[in-house]
Amino acid sequence: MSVDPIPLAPRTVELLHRTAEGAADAAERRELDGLIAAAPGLREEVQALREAVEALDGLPLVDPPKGMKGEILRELRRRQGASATPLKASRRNLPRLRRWRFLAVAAGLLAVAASAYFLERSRATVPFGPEPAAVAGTMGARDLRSWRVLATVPARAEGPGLLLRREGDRFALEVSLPLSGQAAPRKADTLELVWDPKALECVEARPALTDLEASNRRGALQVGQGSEAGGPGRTRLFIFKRRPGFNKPHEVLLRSPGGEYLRATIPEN
Amino acid sequence: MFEEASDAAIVERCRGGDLDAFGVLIDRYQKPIFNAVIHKVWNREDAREICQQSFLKAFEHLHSFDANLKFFSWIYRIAMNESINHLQARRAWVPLDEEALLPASGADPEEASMARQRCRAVHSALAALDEKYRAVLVLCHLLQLSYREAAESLDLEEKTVKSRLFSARQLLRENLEALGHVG
Repeated sequence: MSVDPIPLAPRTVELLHRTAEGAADAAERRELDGLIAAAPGLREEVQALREAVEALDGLPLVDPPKGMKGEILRELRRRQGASATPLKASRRNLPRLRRWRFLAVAAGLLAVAASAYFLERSRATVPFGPEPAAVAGTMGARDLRSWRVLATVPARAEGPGLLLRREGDRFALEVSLPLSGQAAPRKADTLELVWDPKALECVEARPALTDLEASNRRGALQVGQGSEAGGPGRTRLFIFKRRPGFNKPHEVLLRSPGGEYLRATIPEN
Repeated sequence: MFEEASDAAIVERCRGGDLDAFGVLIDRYQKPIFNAVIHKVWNREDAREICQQSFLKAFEHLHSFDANLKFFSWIYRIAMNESINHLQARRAWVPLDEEALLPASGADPEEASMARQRCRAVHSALAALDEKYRAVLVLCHLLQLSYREAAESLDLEEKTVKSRLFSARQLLRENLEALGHVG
């Protein structure tokens, strides 16, 4: 994991990206070469960005399911049989009085929605995801928010499942999982967090655990049961510290009796 | 008959209820729209349903289509709204349908296996990104849209797309590194 660099000038950033995507012309390449001569670390940046660009450009497009077009047209023909052509612009056709009434109701609803939104925002202490303060105890949200996010491993399409942050030699792992769905943990399933105890030590857990020492010996701790493991407001927070002398990347797994759920990699320094 | 016609000309025909003309628009845009959706909902069946709904909705609301927009940008916005509604209604975790996103096995099994491994890694890193970053990567890299086209689709300024793309690449690279795939 790269250390946070000194913020780069916008022009430098642009040159790095244009070079990485192969779009830089000769003058831009010369300009970047001059910058690299003054700050050789930039060469690694270009290489890293090039790798990201190549990885993205190497992704294949997925073919849509065969017959999708036919299904859409069949459905439209069925609907046409009932009602014919596309809808007319209905708002333009509203009588004047109804239109004003419609606008007044819409404005009212908008005002209510805006009030609710800003009220909610004023309560929020983190930019996204569940509020760490709800689980962090003495570690306030403000503290955790300043930690750098290394990776989010979403419970697939439903937002962060594992959120890994770092501050110095400490790593915060927030665990949240959905409560329902075909792949969600069953109510009776016990979820465990597993790691290599020789490499990492869990120094804090919120809500607090009474057997943290034993957990560190085993390299495993119980996160909770499927019914109580996740969902907004039910996030669990674990702070890990690397053991002295262990600097390789290490994985922390979240697993249930049914198998592995999610994994987060704690990177090397 | 319509294959060479502009989107605007085809839309005019569709407004008169011409389904053959609408078929041409489906041919043109079903693949990019399907790819944009599947990289948001991560499930092939859900993506199919959302795409169908999006095209049906587009046809039924063609009269509200703003001719200043590209047809792709308009239907992309419909599809993204449909995806959001779908995700909110689902409220359950559906696992990432990785197989649906992987390239078909090629002639060389070893090469195919490596390509699939690379794809898995990039999808994991993409899935871990915030939606706003993922969207620009999908539009600018996967669908090869220009900054201007991506900006229109996302209803953003071009410079915002550019800076978001730069951050997104950086974050993706960090995710790939954190997942142990580069660096």
